[in-house]
Amino acid sequence: MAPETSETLQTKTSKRSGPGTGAPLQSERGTTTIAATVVQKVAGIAAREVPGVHSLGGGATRALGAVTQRVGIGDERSQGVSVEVGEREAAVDLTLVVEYGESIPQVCDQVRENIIKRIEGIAGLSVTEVNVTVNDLYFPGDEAPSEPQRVS
Amino acid sequence: MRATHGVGEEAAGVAGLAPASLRRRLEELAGEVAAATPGVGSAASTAVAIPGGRFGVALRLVAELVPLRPLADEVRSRVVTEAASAGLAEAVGPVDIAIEDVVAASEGEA
Repeated sequence: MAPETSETLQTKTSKRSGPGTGAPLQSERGTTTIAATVVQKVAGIAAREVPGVHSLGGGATRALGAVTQRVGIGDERSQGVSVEVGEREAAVDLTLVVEYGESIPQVCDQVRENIIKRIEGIAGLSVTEVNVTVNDLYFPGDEAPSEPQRVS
Repeated sequence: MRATHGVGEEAAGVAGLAPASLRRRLEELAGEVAAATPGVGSAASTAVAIPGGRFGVALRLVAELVPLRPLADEVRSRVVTEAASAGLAEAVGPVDIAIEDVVAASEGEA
């Protein structure tokens, strides 16, 4: 039921650099640090902008995310996205659910392009990898039906 | 903490302020300038005495979805300029900026 497609874009280099938190960019008058969570959030927002992307995250992630968001400690925008951020480069892994009927390769390509464009534009980081895993398809009407009224 | 204050004592005399007052003044000024910069959602600042009688300023920002490195450069430039206008040019050391989070327009409305 859950077709799994894993595609990897190898751009300038596949070597990942930097720790989980953004490495500072030194300048004469001080350093500039962009937190990994910022890059994670930008990537999540960029992926959601692409038509055909229904949601981000695997089944367990989405279930956990629904709980954490309900209690106010989760962020839907970074759900299903993990990043590694260095001083000048970033690598992104994300898991998403594609709407049934959309071309999965095309959606993945558009997601990659948009993530690269947004991260380079907003965070000023060169994106070395965007690894996309499509872990499910969304069919319209998949939502749980509302419970029928027990009394009329 | 004691060592920090000891270093900061070298800064006495800048703008006629005691080191503790000078540090607080720089923190306030940096925080206010950063928060007033277009593209910054909110800002928190700290100043720490460094050798040479100056104070290093550390700013933690929540930014809007704008180009972040130019934003950090703009904030840094404004802090230095405003500090100079306030007679604190000699007290300002490096201005380190950490962008901790971003807010989308839809989050601001929520």
